[in-house]
Amino acid sequence: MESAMDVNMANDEWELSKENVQPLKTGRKCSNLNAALQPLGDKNIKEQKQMFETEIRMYQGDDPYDTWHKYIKWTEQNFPKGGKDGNLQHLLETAVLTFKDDARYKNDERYCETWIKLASLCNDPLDIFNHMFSQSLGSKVALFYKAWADHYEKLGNSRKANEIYLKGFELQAEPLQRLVKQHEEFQARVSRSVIEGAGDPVEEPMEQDQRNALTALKGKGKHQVIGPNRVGGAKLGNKGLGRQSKPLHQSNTGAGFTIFNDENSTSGNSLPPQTGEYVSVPTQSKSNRENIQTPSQWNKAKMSQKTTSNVPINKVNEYNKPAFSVHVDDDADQPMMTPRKGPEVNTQVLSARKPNKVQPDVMQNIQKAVINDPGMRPMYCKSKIYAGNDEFSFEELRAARWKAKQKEKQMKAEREEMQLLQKQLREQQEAIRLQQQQMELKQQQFLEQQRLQMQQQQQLLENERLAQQQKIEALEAQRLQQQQIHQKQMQQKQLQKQQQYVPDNSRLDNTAALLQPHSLVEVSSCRDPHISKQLLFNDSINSTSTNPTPQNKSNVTLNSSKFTPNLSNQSGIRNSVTSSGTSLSQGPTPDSSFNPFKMTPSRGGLTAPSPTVNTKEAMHVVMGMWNKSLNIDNDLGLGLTNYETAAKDSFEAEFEDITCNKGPFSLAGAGSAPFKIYDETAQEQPPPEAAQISNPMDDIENCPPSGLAKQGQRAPLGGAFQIFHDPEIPDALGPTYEYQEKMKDHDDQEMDGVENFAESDFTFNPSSSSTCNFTGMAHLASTPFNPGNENNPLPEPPISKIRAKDPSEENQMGDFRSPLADESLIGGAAIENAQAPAFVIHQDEVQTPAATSHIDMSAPGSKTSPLSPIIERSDEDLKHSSHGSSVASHNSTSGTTLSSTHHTTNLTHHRDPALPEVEENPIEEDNDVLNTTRQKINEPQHHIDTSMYIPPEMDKKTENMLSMSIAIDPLDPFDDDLIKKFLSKLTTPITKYDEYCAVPENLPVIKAGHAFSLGDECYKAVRCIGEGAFAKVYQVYNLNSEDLEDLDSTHQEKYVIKLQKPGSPWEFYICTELQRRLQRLNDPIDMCPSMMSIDRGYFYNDGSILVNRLHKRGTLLNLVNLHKKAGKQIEEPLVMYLTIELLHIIEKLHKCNIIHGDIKPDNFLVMDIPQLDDDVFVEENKVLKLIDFGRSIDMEMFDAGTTFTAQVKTSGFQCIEMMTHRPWTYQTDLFGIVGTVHVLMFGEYMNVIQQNNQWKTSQTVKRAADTNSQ
Amino acid sequence: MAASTCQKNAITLKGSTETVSEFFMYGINSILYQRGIYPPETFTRVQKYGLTVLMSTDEKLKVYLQQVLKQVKDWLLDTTLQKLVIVIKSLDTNEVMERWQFNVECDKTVKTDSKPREKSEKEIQKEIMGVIRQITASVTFLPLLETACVFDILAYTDKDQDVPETWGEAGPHFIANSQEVRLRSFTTTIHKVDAMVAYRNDD
Repeated sequence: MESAMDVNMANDEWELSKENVQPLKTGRKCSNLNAALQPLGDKNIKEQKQMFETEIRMYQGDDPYDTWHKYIKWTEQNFPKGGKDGNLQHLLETAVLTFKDDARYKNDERYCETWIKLASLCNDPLDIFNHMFSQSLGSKVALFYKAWADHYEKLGNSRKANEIYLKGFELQAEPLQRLVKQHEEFQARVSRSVIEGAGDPVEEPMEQDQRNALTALKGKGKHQVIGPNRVGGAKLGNKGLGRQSKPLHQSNTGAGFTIFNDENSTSGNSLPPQTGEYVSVPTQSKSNRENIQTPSQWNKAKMSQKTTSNVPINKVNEYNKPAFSVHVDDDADQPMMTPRKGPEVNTQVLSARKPNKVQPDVMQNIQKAVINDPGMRPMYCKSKIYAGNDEFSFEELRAARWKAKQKEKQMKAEREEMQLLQKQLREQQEAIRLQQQQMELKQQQFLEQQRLQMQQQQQLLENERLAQQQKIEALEAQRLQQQQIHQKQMQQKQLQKQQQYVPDNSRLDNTAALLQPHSLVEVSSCRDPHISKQLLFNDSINSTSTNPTPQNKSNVTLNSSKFTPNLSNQSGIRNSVTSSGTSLSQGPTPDSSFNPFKMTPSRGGLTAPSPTVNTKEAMHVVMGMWNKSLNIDNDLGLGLTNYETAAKDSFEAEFEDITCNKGPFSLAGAGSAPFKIYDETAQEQPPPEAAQISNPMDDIENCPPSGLAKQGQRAPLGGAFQIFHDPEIPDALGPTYEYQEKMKDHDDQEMDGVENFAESDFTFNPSSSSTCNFTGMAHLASTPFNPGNENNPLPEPPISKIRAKDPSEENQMGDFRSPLADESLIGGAAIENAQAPAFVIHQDEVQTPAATSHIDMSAPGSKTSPLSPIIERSDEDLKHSSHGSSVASHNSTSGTTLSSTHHTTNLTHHRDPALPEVEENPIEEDNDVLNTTRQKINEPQHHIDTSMYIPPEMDKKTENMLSMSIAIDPLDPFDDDLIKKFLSKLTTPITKYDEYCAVPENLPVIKAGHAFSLGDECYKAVRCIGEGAFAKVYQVYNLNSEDLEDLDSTHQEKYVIKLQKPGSPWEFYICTELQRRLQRLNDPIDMCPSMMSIDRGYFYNDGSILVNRLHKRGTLLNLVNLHKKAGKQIEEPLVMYLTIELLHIIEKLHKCNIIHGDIKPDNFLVMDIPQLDDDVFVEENKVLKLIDFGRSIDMEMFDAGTTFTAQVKTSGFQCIEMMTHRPWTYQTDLFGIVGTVHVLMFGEYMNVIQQNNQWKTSQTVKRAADTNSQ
Repeated sequence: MAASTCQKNAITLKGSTETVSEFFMYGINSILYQRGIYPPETFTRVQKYGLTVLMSTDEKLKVYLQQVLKQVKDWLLDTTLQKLVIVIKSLDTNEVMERWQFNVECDKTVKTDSKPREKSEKEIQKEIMGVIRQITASVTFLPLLETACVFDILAYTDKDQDVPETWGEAGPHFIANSQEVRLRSFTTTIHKVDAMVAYRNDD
């Protein structure tokens, strides 16, 4: 029960807010009501409103009022409070004014309805009605008269109301019937009220309507209080049902003079004439001049208060108890939460226009619009900007126009495409028709031939039948004889007898069945490349595939009936039959005298799937078809030289067709293709070999192997058979048999050929090794980080074209980071260059020179060599890691040792890691660690020495940790498929984000110094400032800036674009999502500027481009290198300050449930170096900005407390947990921070070693600060 | 004292029938008043369920309702009543404007002499109050009835029931293009009443 109540409660918003809902005449939709009454407001409402606003401005059809009408209705439904939030009055006014002079809507019911609605919001609706009537707006609409009359009726002026009804009749308001009915109802109400009022004077309303001049005001109620509202008899009774108190007649006795009465005064007796002069509507100020009280401040007013004497404190409870009891609901204990408007989430800077404070009179507004200053003319589309309730900016209008245009373009393109298709279809149909005609002709010819044949065969059959009859008679005689002779073996004999009959019958069947294939073969041998034939062909295949079965059966029966010599010797004729029978049974396939034709069905069975073929086979055939069609081309195409010119177009068109609709229909079409060309080319022309060259597609995979041509050549032999069947069959039986005998060898050959051919067809199935390759490639391409492939020597696919190709490019990239760091970086690059060959050798596993050269190169640069940026590595991209030998060595070690469980990667070790001893001799390594402190200084990489690490016995702490973590995610959180899945599951897909911009093209070519366009923006690339495994970063500026004149000026908006191949929707998602979450955090210190934000993300077919703002000061790494070059360390206060900033950033990041996953000095941009007198830690003075969220993890995608075990090889600083195979979550970022701070402090990357079960850095911190990293 | 509270919490079939039919009485009157089927001056205020409910003083109407509810009571006692529907029709066109439907779920296992169920009267009254309140509040979304209207009471029972003399067979009186709003429900543990209103909405 309780739960049922809860469910109900969810939809009871309307009940809780019932006082806030204005009832509508037409009723409301409860769903709308509930949505509108949601405390926070429905997001849809905003969207819908925007939609209406746009539509109003962009409407192109011939009923512009329709949108307005819908908009008004929608507003009524969705702003149930009827207050100012919907701004209905303004909307109604605008609607009414916009179409005021539109003749179309003069008598439009909807327009009229709008006027009436406006009147109901108005102080004095009568003004509106009068105005409408005078302007003959809605004078033919029954609705108008009804509303007008109703209003008078409400005021108690039933006479005037009646008059209005009559006027409506007079002007033939539509629908008249309804008006008549309403009039009747009105009369009924009036008469009832008259009866109940017991003699109320009919004139009474009249007198109430007008106040007598200079008399006392009419009072109300018991005490004759004169209320503030004195207009007419302001009496809103229940449709005349209420009792009316008899008005007090007051005489004009007091006045000593007569008051002038206008003789012409119509005084409500009749309606004003419908002159149309009433253009300027009397506003309230005009018509009600003397009776308006100007609003003033009321704060002076005081309520008279009873002064009470002081009450002693102990008597306060007894004192002044109210005389009434306050009712308290029984269920008052549960606090009723009335909906309340919460803070709006996304308040725009430009908010909707607020309604004026003092609501001006409606009529005044109308007036204003009517009288336009003739001296003023807006030179912009004012009407469009102020069209609806909201104000549109020019940009919005432009965007709407552009969108409409795009849509139109798209529609047009689609239409054209459709037309093209239709045209093609029509052409095809035409061709089909022609072919059909040809076919018919041919068929007729053939039929005639057949008829001749039939006649001949019938003769033949008759002969045979005669022979058979004789035979049977002979048989009978024999049987009788036998019966007489072998009386004991009666049963056996009977069986034999039956068997003897069977072959006879089957023989007859055979001949009958054999007649059929004739026509079928003929049909299929027509070489018509079009569908009609394909259809026919399809049928023929069905029938042929069924036909052979009886033959088969008959063969079987023949075989099983044991043709013993006994039987065959029984008669001479019989002999011949058996001989034919044996010949039949000997055939490799269901054979007959018309064997040659069999070939076609068998081929057809292969190529064209009959509906009975199971799906797998069908798939097979489809797969085969794609390759085979080319074979066909080839073998048919052996004669392509001529054929090609004539039929290639249509042929190709057909292929296109097939690609278009992959239905079974086109399958059949493709299947039929072999036939047509097969026969034709074979018959008409000996195919030249060279035709193979003219193969339309020159894919290697699709090229036939050399064997095929031979088979293809053999195949045309089949064409030779056709010559036979006409002239030779009519011959006597004997020759036929002979022929059969003769043919048999040939036949076998032929069949072999066919079979071979068929097989060869299948060798072109993509299911062969080439598929393996293909899928392998696909696999590789889609999962570039697939760790499973590490040891597989699979061919390296071209995953990313953006790749460091030569050191010069690297130099370019390097020197961009910070102009000041140029030299040092070039130095670094030089070293890298020098190291590059060494690295190559690494790869080739030629060991010795590598080690020496490396040490030689790095040693001289020991003190000054700057830190090189940590480059994201991918396993496929080994080459790239040549930035530092240790990187390389790390890579190669991980490559080689991954298979071994030992997994000690001593990164400090400078010998070639490929040497096996290294891994097996940790002791030696220890020495190295001790000895190579000097070398370590040069280490351009950060590392953790796990050689000392002994996996601890699962101590309590780790066990706790493991059990605490709700879910250990064994998956790699960076797995592309996983990320794709996450992206697809988003509630708002990223394609809906404002910043998202899909471009269905390939990435534009971007070169330094060249302009290019992204979407509708135009940029000019300045230079390439960075390059990674999959991304390139360019500095660009926007060419769309308004001031095109000073293109060269420096104060243009500069941007950075990050070009990624393949695209990285994930980074886009993380960045936008992070900004959103940060805003939601609503932290007093806004961290938004400290995180990378994406202005726009352009997503191309093969990549993506993210646009960010440029910060020209480079990264933290540049900062460190700068200091290093100057030979000093960063001042400690600055380090402290930066550390605080870093921690702050990470804290907020983690609060947003996002792991960055790749924290390193080069991922922090320096925005501004704080000055001493600046206020630190305020929003304006953000120093650092975190970038590169490509490897981030959105923890909201996982269960709370999920930990990961995956090793992130691309991360700059692998945290200890990763190295030691323990679950990790957020700490990877914290470790990154430690590493970053370490770099800041010491100007070098951090080494972590384990001593006494504690992880320590190799550097000792001055002043004994404790820097345990764990 | 203990005995009396025990009495208060026990629900028998008879008592439940009484409660439900009483609810129908007040509910129908409330609808008739709220929807203006009868002139408002013919109604008088009554305190019930902790609310002020308006009850008709029209003698003919009272008699009619008593007659209907007597039959309804019988059906409730037999646990054969499925629905009670109040249909509001336009007087002239006979078009159905509104359809107030009370679905009744009867617990068929309960017989007159079964053991009483436990549910406090107060709780039931509170639930009924919720329904009556919603009937009152429904003016927020119901359209204005502009023409004179009449009402009709339909009862859906199990198929095997005979139609009483004073009742006739009738169609379901459905509304085309209707909007439906589910109202609250209440239960006596023997009879569960779901309220619902359907009304015309042309767009």
